Amino acid sequence: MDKDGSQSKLLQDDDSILPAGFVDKGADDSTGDLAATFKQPPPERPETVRTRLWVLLSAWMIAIFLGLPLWHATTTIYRAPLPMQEMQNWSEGKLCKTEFPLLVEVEAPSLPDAENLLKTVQHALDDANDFAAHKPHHLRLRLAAKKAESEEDSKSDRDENVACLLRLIPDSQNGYNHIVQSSSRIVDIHYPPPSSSSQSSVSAGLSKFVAETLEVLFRQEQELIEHLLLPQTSNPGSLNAISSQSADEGRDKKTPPKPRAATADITRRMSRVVKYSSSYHITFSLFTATSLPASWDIESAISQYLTPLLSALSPISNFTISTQVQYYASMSSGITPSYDGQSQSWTLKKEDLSSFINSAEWPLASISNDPNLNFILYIPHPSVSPLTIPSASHSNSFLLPQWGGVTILNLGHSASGLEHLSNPTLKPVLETFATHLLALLGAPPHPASLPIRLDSLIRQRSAEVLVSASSTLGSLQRLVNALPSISIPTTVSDSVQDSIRHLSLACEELRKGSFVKALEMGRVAQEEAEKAFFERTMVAQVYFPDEHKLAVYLPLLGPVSVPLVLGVFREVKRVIAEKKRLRSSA
Amino acid sequence: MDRKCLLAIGAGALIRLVLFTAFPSLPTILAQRVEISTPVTSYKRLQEGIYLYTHGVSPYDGGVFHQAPLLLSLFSILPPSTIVTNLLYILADIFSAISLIRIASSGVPTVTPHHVSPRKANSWPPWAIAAAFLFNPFTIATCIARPTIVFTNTIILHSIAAAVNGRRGPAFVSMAMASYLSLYPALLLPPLLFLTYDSLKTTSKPSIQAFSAITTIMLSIVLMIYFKLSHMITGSWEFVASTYGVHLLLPDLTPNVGLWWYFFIEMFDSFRAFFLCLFQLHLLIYVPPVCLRLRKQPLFALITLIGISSIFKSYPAIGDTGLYLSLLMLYNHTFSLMRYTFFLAAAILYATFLGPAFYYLWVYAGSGNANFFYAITLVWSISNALIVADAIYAALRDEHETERPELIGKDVVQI
Repeated sequence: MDKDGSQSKLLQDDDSILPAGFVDKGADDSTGDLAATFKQPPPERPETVRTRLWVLLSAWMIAIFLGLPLWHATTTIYRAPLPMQEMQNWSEGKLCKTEFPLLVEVEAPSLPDAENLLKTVQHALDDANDFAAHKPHHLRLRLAAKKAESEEDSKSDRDENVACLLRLIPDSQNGYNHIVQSSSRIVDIHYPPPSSSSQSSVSAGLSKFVAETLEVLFRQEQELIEHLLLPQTSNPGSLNAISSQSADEGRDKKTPPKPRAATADITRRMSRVVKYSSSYHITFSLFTATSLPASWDIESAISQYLTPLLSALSPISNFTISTQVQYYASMSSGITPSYDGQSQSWTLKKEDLSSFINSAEWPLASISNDPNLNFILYIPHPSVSPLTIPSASHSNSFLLPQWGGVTILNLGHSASGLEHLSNPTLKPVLETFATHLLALLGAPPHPASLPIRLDSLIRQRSAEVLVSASSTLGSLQRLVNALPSISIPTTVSDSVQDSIRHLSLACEELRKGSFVKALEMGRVAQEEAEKAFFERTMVAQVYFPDEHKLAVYLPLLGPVSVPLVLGVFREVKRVIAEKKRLRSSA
Repeated sequence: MDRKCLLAIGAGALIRLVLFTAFPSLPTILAQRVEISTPVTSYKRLQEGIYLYTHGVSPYDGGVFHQAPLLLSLFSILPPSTIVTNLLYILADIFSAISLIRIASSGVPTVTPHHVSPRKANSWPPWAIAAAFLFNPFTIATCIARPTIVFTNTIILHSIAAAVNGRRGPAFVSMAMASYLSLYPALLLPPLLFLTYDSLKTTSKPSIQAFSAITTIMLSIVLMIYFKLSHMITGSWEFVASTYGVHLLLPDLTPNVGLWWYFFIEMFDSFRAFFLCLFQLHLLIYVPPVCLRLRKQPLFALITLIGISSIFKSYPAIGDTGLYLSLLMLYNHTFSLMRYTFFLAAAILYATFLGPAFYYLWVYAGSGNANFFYAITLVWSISNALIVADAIYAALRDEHETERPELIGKDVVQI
């Protein structure tokens, strides 16, 4: 086929009415008056139309029957079902009315109507409790079964419920007073022996005193736990708050206003406490400004003076310990002790203490995943020795909130004993550290009895984990509600379920009074709740709102779909035109 | 086959032989080029797989080797000498050329049962088409770099040659092998079906439905045999995930001349699955329309799909483009109807020369970045896509002029 120009000019459509050359030149720019001569394209053949329809249809079929399901399957955000209502209820404190039933045993061998006395005391206590219905503590008194002393001990060990044991001992000399034993839960109450004439008045006086003693014993803890539970119960949606509000009206005047000082004290104390964890790492460091002392008996000292305390703390947290010695450790450069001629010692200023730790040079970075507590024994340079700190106590030590404790040990100028710190030298140091540790962990400073303080710490920590786990669940619930575009993997819903289960178990244990178990459950609940909240895959999705999806889809899908959509339009237009023509011709 | 054909083949073999022997380091250099070797075809990775395989370790351990198990057995039978391997690749190219000659001599590109090109006389003689394949720099570079795509191409060409001669069995067994080796030739099965059906030489043709049913059954049996053999060779089904899984899911984002790697480096993780499906579907969506629209020229439909998949498949290389361009030469008679020949030739040359340069700037000199190379792959893909589009335009115009010979030489517009 020769497609020479002259020949092709001669070839033209049959229905043309214009001369050959004219059409060829004017076909492009003929407008207006030539519109009448505009050639209609020849009608399409039916098979061409059919092919085009099939082409269009096949493309749409693939798009619809393969594309859409694949789109749906690959972009649906998987949201595992979460017990939202339950989570909210927990966070609002509706599901668990935190209470701490405390069982107090009373031993009154020399009192004839002990039962009666107990009733009176219980009544007084209940009355006091009634004033504040939402107080979590419920003291319950019980007469100890009369048994031999040894058996009694083992029993109280077995039965965790016994918060303390009151021993009523008649004492003619001192009148009413109570003595708290430091290593057991026994509290001795001395009272003047009753004269037979005024039996009832003695009993009344005694019951009043017992009630007061119990108040004193547990007041601090009670305030603390109330403080902990405060954000939870003061939630306006909470049932507790509503009930106490409605009940308050009649009682307002009777309820003693909460002392400001106590709250401030609690806040101050709480600010020191390290964040609760199931295990801590403790680092004991000996920093000496010279090369002496070269060694210390820390291992034996720890096992002798600290291990008993740590094992007593084991229901709450576990501890791992490391020690180190650092020579020629200078204080931070900004700190210069001033010489106090009166006491012949060097004194650090109070504001220096906060920057005492030379974190730039002292190797205190923890290698452990657990929260780290540092205890530093600092031996100052002989030229600035004795070094003291401005404090009332003589321990020459201070506590760094949420971080650890520091003790400054002045060894004096005697050459002997400088090379090596012996076990006895370390005893006061470690005792100070033990006090610091308890303070850092949040044990109340009062009463003197260590078991009671530890019990109190357990209760306090349980309350803390419960509140923390519940509020984490609440945050997760709000997050999930607020961001409908985040995915929720099954692991999250599993964790949430687990957390809720353990929360209710913990709550049950609390009600039963077994606080160690409650703490254990609460700990699991908290861990699970945090695991759910900090799920990595969920967070990745957070920053992907729906508007962005358009920007992701359109650049590719837009151009790709234009021919498909236009094809449909064109076919529809053609069909409509055809119908019109048929109608007009008919 | 006349003397010219033999001459062309001999010259083609000679130039490869000379390149292999005179520049012994050339194969290694070329094998490292990302434009030629992809993770699913690389000769280096094949050697790694063979080493693992001959030492009794699963070749797919370590995630380096992504090629079909039958290739392993082929190469482990061969004596481990470079000369033998090189000869095998040269032989593969010679076979390809012979297949092309057979396709060209069958006359199918110009004359099909539904369509006789009015430009029949303009088509190139078979030897010229063979020469266009053998002296195509893309083909030569691919042969020297020894990626396994050479075998896939040979098998595809053999399959087409069998199909245009109406030999159904060899055509489909070969195409099944090509699909087995590199997955995407599976897209060519529908046009191959039409092509074989149109070329059947028997007097009593079965209906197209019956024909396709029988062919499908045959195909699945053949594929099952291939898979069973592969299973026997490697001892597990691990190869499915390591070969086809890699084609489909694109775990290896090594740069290549295609459009996928950059896109999926940048893609948000949460949309990766969706866009993988979309890209694969994009390839698939061309198959029915092209087959339907070019029903009169099934060979051209097949070539067009080869061209489309050489642009849009997950690990394309210049070997794919080489195959497409060589096959397109069969339609040389329609080139006069193409509109952008000069522009397209220039764009291809531009991308060919600047691609390696920009890759060098990015990876070795460090004075460029990934966008340099990506931009050039975009130019490459666009020019390839325009070639495909322009060739389709030319072929359709040719078809149209058969129907309406009075329109020859006139401008047409789409309405």
